[in-house]
Amino acid sequence: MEDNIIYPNSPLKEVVFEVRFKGMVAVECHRDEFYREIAEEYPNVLVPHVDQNTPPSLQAYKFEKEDKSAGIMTAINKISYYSREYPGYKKFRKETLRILKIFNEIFKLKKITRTGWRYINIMPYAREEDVIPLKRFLNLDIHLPLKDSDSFKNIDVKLHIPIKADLFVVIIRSIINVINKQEALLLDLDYSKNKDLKFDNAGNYIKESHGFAREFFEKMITDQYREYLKGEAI
Amino acid sequence: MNGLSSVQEYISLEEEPLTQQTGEELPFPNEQGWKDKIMDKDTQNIEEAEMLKETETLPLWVITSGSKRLNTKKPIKVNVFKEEDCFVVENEPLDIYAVGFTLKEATENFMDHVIEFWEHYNNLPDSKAGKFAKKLKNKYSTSFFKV
Repeated sequence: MEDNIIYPNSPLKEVVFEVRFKGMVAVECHRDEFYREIAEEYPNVLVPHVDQNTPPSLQAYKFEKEDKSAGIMTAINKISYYSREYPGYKKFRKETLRILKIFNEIFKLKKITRTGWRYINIMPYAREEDVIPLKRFLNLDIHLPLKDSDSFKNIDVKLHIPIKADLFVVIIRSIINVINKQEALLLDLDYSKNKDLKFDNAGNYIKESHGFAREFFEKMITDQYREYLKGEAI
Repeated sequence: MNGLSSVQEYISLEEEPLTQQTGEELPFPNEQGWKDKIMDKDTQNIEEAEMLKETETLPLWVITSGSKRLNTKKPIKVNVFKEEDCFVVENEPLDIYAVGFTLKEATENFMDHVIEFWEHYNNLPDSKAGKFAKKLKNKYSTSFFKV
């Protein structure tokens, strides 16, 4: 599978690449300097709501495109780039690195503590005989000591998988659109690196994390769902 | 406690938090309305429904209506959206536009129509079919098989 292929019926709703570092007060004090550099493309400033469980400094500001298709999140200990209309890997990587470079020129990150690549897919479905048609979408074998243990009314699974020194989190969950009641499967993938990281290697971390998540996605979906994603449908 | 602990003494072994996404809870509930099934059950009202703008698409591999059932040779891509007070489920190649006051009702009506059309075109002799009907007859006969 080529890195840059985008399915016509892609379920991808959001891609995020995030870099975390030890808290730097300068990020809060000089947020305006960073904003000035990116304001032309990301003019909308979105501030966080009050969250009693998270200190204000750890809550991210968002600088977003007019059309909301992509944006940047920054807080005292992190910067991330996100896209809601994924332009393909190459363009996404290029823009992420451009944003990180601007950020680093201002704040001079030396050591980073974590990188994360998040790939959020939403796959709407219609129930078959009142259960989720899971096997049509995902290659997921769950064996329980029950008859029909592969039929589910709802599903909510979160797995933390060590991949050498990295961590891969997979969330599979049945969700529903609160507005129109359309049901869907959430396939949420998060690949993070946590050890011996250098800012200058961010490009390699993106490549590695994306490669892993994409390959996993391709193996996770069934051939019949891939057929649909490719546009081979009535 | 005699060596036994109560459930309350255990905490989650959750690893590092996830890479932050843009939404505050599950994927961007503010923008697109997706929320956890457990959290949102039975909260829909007309005011919220009016906010739906985007069309969603989903694949159907099986069509059922009562005891009748058709399988598809390729998935049917249906568009789902809201129009005024009704939900719409449609597929242009099959020439079906079904409505209902709920999404479930619209989906059931869509499936009823598919089976009615399939039966109709199956029984329609070529000699009695016009150009458009012949095209649809061909579409239905090549798209489904009965189980």
